[in-house]
Amino acid sequence: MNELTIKREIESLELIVKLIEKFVIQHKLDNQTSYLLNLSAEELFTNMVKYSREGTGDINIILSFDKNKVMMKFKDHGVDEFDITKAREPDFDASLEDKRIGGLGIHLVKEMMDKVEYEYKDRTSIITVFKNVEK
Amino acid sequence: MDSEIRISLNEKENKDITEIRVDGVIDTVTSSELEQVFNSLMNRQRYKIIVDLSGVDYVSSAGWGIFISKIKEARNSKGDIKLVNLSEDVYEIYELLEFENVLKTFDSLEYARVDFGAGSPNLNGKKKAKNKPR
Repeated sequence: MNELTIKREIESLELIVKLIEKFVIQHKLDNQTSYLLNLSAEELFTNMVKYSREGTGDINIILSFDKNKVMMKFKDHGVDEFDITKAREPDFDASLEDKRIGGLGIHLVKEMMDKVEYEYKDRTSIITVFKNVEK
Repeated sequence: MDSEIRISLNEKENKDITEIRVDGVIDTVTSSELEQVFNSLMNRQRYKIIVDLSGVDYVSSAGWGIFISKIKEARNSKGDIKLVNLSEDVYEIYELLEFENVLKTFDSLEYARVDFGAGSPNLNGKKKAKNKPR
């Protein structure tokens, strides 16, 4: 299992990229999986930094690989509940003028990953995503 | 994957079209540089913009958000933003975001120039590609 605790700031993205890089090498994962994990991690982490500014603690990231399945978990401490699995989808039928830019990142994560779970307890948001990998 | 971006401009080829060549990654960290380039072009009333992504293998929602917000501004001033040379990975995300009806992509700079109405003698009678990937 690979784990990292990082500060709630955009600059921490670099550390996430390094963690994923190490994880991908360790488990001999393909480039496509690496790309999707990086993109999902960026979207999830950026949302936490942008929309939970009141968050009081650092953010934990846990990566694990078991039975051809990658699990990536984010624990965001001291924040209000925001269930991304129930977040409003961007309106793709809207005209360009009305198109909402917000929500694109979450939409992407849901599309790229095979499963997205959300849990909220003790003022901690826990987002877990799963990606099946063919090996 | 290093979070770096390099941006260069070509305004010589066609007078009213600006071609932006981007290399590196367009993510939360680097996308502000791209936004500044768009802002500065639009401040100079340059609204016909082609973005060459051949050197880009990663665009997160931060980058897509900039394309979408700037395209509104460009079209309001009779311009547009067209993307060319998307890598397979980047094109996959473009499809997931269902941007086909909003943001045009082409598989070469020449096709995008033609779509702006700038004729190119180098096409040798080939039909222009509309919304054609890569």
